[in-house]
Amino acid sequence: MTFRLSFRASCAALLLMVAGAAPALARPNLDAATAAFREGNAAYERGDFAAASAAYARAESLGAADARLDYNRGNALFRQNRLGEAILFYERARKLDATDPDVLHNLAFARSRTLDKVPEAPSDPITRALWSIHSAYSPRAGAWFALALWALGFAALAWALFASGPARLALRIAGGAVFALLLLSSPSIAYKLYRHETVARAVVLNPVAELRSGPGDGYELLFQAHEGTTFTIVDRHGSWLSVKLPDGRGGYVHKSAVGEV
Amino acid sequence: MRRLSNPPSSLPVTALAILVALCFVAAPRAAVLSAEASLGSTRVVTGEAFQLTVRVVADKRENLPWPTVEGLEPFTVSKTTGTSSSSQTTIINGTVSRSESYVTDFIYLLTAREAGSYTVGPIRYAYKDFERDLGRASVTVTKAEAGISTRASMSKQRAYAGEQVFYNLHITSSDAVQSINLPKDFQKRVGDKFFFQMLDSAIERRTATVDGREVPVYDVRIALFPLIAGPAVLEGIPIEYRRIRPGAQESQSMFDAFFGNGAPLITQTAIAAPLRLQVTPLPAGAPSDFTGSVGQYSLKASLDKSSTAAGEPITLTVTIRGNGQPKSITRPVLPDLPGFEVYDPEESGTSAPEGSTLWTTRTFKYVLIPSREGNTTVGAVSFPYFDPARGAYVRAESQPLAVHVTPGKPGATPSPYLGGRAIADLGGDIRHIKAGGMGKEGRLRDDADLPYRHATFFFLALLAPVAFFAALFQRRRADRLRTDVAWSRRTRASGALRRRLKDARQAMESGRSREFYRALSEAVMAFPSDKLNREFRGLTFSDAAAALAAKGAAPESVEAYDTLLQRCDLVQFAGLSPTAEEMSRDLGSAEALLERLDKELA
Repeated sequence: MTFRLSFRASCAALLLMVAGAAPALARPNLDAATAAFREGNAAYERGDFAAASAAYARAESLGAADARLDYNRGNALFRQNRLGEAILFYERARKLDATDPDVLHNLAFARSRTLDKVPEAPSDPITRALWSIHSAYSPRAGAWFALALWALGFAALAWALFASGPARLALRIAGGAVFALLLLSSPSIAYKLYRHETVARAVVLNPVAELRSGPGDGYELLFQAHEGTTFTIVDRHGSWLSVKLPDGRGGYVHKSAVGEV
Repeated sequence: MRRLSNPPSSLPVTALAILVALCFVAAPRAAVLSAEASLGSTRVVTGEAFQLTVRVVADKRENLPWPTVEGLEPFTVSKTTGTSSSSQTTIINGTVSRSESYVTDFIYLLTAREAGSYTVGPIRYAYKDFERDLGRASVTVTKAEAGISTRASMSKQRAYAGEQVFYNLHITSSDAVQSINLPKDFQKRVGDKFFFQMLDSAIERRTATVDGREVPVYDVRIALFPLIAGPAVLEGIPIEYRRIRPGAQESQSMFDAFFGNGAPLITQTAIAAPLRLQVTPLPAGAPSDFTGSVGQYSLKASLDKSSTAAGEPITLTVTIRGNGQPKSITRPVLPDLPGFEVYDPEESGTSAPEGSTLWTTRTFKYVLIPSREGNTTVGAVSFPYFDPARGAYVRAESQPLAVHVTPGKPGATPSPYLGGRAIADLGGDIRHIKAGGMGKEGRLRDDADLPYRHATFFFLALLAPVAFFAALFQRRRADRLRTDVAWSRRTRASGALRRRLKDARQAMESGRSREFYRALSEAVMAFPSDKLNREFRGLTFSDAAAALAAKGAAPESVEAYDTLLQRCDLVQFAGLSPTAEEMSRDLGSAEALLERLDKELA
């Protein structure tokens, strides 16, 4: 005689599995990191910027990856005239939260102090408008948003199966609309996550970094970039990085001269 | 590129081309797998650059030593390296193996200075256990007239440190020259004794008449600023140019010329003559605010209005212009301005040539806010510099500027934002740190730990469609159970049977034999009824047996069915009193029978 696992039992098993997996997201050292962060804030407020940046570094070593931490650390470094490092940490803060106006302001302000002015590639108003929408959320928010739409769409369609009359039609339309929204937003989300995972950036930390035509000191010197200039990393060759500027120029720079975002 | 070949020991070194050595040895324990040498050309003209490449393949990435190459004395040598890697995957008998190799190219860029026949080599490569002679090659160099001539000059032979000196490199080209390139590493050529700035953004081609012929000429104009006192040498600047190989133009056929098959080009280098400059140190006694400006300077100061109200801003614009080192013009020190609140200036500036001199202009706009009414003066603004013509430190000064300050509005606080003007940025700064609250929202997060890096995320993503399809399945099943009676009965037959057998078992355990056999009879009759959607209760034993046999039941199952029902009837209606063992046996028989029928009637 055959005995089937009931539908309810299946649901219960799935929920148990989810509940069991959830603790994997927890990080127990964030309490200590938060304490170090507050210590850094106190040092900053009393003008001890070196102590502040040391405390922020400790918070980061304890496992925190928070835009506020990188932003504050950038501020502490900026106050110590460590412009390249300040830009590096503002860039890291922006990577975690591209929507924070304070991060964007301080990054722009610090960049205005750099020697190298690299013009961005020109773009039309439509591209700029789309880009501003694309920049208005973080990768984390994008991932959760996509998952929420996905689940909501299926939930609406599942509910419609058991509803009747106008409610059924409304739920079907709602489910379709949610999937349409997911379809429209997925290119932006996918591109954001792709860039977040694959596109690395580097900031010049030395007063001057030499960009060469190949991964070695023997190659031709192409140009020099100064502290704070930000590159996109194209490739890696041992202790050399193949990098590119927004205006298209590129070359090889030694890892020791830059910090990776 | 021609590959060198191993020279036969008995043969003389041939004048043709390429000799060479190719060694391919796989030393089991060595990092180097192979090495070979190749030469770009064996017939060149004087000044033409050609390439000798020694390619070394190793089994791992290492900084390999340079090869030993003899016979390079007649050439100007420039060296560089290039690296690359490759991997190879092989499948033999289903076994996949992968090997990596790392290639290092040692590149010698050679330029012959004199005509003649030269031998490049022997070329040897040695590293750890690997040691090979890669051969040698003959190179024939013929004399070629230079495609360009250069004449370098400086505007003066003696200058003060920081004083502008005009450097001009005049290039006269022949028609055969196709392009001219300045060295990319110009700063390296100029050295650390000079700051320089090109006067022209692009080197313009002009024509000039030389010996009655019109020829292309170029002028490279540079403003040089010596940085260190003492004798300074500006090394000869190499000018690389591409020209049609001598004799190639004449040999071109009419078809080549018509179809645009260009004549072969060669790259040659001409080196401008080095120049010497005696740099005189600046004398002692520089003013405390001297910033290194040497040359001719002027300063202008102006106010955007001569009358204002207390608390209303006025703008003091200071413009400094000079021909010294562009970066030496810094923010001037303003005189004491009692009664004014002074804000940091907004700075702007440009550098542009006028004739053969580079002039730099920088403008500083200060916002001043008077706090007292009355007639007052903005004192003279000055900027110190060293005048080489006078050999002394002097000051460029502005005239004092009179300001009439009227009373401000009663109770008004002096502010740069008063006066109905648009709010102006007086300075900039970074925004303050984020304090973070003391509660849960102030706790740091691990935002780098993105959700999709966890299996939970994908599990949740998978859960949604799984739940939907489960709901769809349930919905369809419910619909069918409601509309398809036969399927509904068949689907529910097993559940109904379990309930009936449970009733029978309870009756048996409580010793109620009649109830037990009634429940058992009910179960045995109802199960095939449900399975086949046919009522068995009204049938005779033989009809029921026939119906079962027709639906695929085995004869022994039909017989057992018949026997079991007869026994149930005997107990119920003939007054038999079965023992507990008999009841248990009958229950087991019924379960076995119904399980068989479940399969046979499927």
